[in-house]
Amino acid sequence: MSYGDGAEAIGLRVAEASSKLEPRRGVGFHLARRRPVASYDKYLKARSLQPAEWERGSDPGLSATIHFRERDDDLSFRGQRCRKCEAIQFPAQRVCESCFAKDEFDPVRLSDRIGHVCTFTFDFFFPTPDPPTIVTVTDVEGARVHLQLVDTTPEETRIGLPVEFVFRRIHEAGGRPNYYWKGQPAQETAR
Amino acid sequence: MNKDAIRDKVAVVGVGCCKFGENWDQSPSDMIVDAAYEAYADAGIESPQEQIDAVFTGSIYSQKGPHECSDALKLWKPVTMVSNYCATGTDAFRCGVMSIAAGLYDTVLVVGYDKPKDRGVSGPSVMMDGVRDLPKTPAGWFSLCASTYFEKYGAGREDLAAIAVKNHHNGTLAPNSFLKREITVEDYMKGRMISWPFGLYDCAAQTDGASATIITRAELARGFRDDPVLVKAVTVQAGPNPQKDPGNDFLSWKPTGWAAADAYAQAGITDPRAEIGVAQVHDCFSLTELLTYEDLGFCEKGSAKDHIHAGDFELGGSLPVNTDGGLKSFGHPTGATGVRMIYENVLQLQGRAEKRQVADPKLALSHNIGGHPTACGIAILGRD
Repeated sequence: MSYGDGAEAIGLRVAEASSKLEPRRGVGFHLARRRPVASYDKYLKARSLQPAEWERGSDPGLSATIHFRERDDDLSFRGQRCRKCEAIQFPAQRVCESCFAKDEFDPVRLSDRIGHVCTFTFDFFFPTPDPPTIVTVTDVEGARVHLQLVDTTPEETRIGLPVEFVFRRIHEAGGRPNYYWKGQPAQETAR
Repeated sequence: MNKDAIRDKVAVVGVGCCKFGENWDQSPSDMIVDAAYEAYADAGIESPQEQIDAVFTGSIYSQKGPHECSDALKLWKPVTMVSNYCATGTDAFRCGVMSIAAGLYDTVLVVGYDKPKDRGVSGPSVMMDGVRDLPKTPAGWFSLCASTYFEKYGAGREDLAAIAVKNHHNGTLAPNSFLKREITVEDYMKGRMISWPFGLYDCAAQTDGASATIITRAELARGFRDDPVLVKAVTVQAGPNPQKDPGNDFLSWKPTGWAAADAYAQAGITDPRAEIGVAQVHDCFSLTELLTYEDLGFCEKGSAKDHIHAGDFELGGSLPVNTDGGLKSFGHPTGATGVRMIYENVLQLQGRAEKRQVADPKLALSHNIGGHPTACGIAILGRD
């Protein structure tokens, strides 16, 4: 049913088939790893309810054509494997950084692989409602990526930490949400 | 390549440097004129329109291109603008040196400048590019060597602090520096965090500035000054972006080592630690200076902290580094920095560095590294 400006209610019934599913990350898993917002101030910043020093109007945003060209890298987290030397690299590039072969690549999906943190920093300057941003260089299948970590803390960040990849909002350049992949510490059920 | 193409072919006969800082009341042209006319006077040039054959200028923020420099100085000459990240100033100098070594010009003006403060923001620029490139911060790039280096060699923030304290001290002795303030290790530790392990005092300020040199064929040099300085080597080197280069160990920045090998071969230097008397190196962040000591061969990899605490790189040490206070005290108007370092090295070689003068240097090195970092420039000068 619908009412007024748009309140909706949906009724669901648990069917017998659901009890036979493989183990997975249910509501309980996600609730267990939640993190409280530490202050009302941070909540306001996260919701863009607090005026910032840097006005939105001064932000020219992203180039739409660059955004379009890099869609496979940014949205699919797709790397490439060199047919000559087998090296896997990210993002897509024309000349192999390992053997210098030109245009000899097959696409490789990296989003469902496990990476390992190579080095890291905690960036208090990166625009975010809740600094610091944990920034790493992470190795995945031989490729090396510049990667933010989420759902963890500086204390838990270390060289060698295994991470899985999640698709998240990375910034709001141009006043709109932009999405890219981030890392989070690898959990049970991750491949 | 011909490693002997540069050495002793070109001389620096004049240098100039404007006051670096938040130059709200100066345009780029104002700073270019200050630096260039000081260099003219230093070289005894009274009629630049007749005596200068060409101009090489470097800037990464200019919206107006090479015309900005020509128009400021009313030099209607062949003019080239160079952009090469933080190595921009050194690369402009290199292009000028190459043009003379090639026999094309007799006397060339090199001007490095930048005016980032006109953008109206205090922090570093936010790169407007693709989704992945934005927004990263330079402190976040250069700090990526810290966790790895600290873990492997047992170094820490106390070692970085000593570099910041040294450079702040040297900056108090340089007339054109931006920050003229001593700091203590305690001040350093209290600075707010920017990008771990970099706090406020690990980071170079962002400032406006311009610096200039006059270079000429070596055989013409004594027509300008009786104490010319000779170019022994100049090079730039590109390297892979360490953020996507699987071969990077995050214990050094590759382009520095590569550029050093080239520069030392050009200059005929086999023992840099013993032969170089003074050096200006790229301290965009304190750790960058620490890694550079090692990457330039001033000490063994991993041993920088011992040499730092022994005072080797201080003004009275065996190899003084950043004698004018470096980027830490001058700030970093990107295009200007490499030329500002050459200015300081020329003064040091000619015994004109006043309170910060080091004892009798024969060879002086300047070094920039920038980008992710992905570009390095090195220039080595020596007395005639």
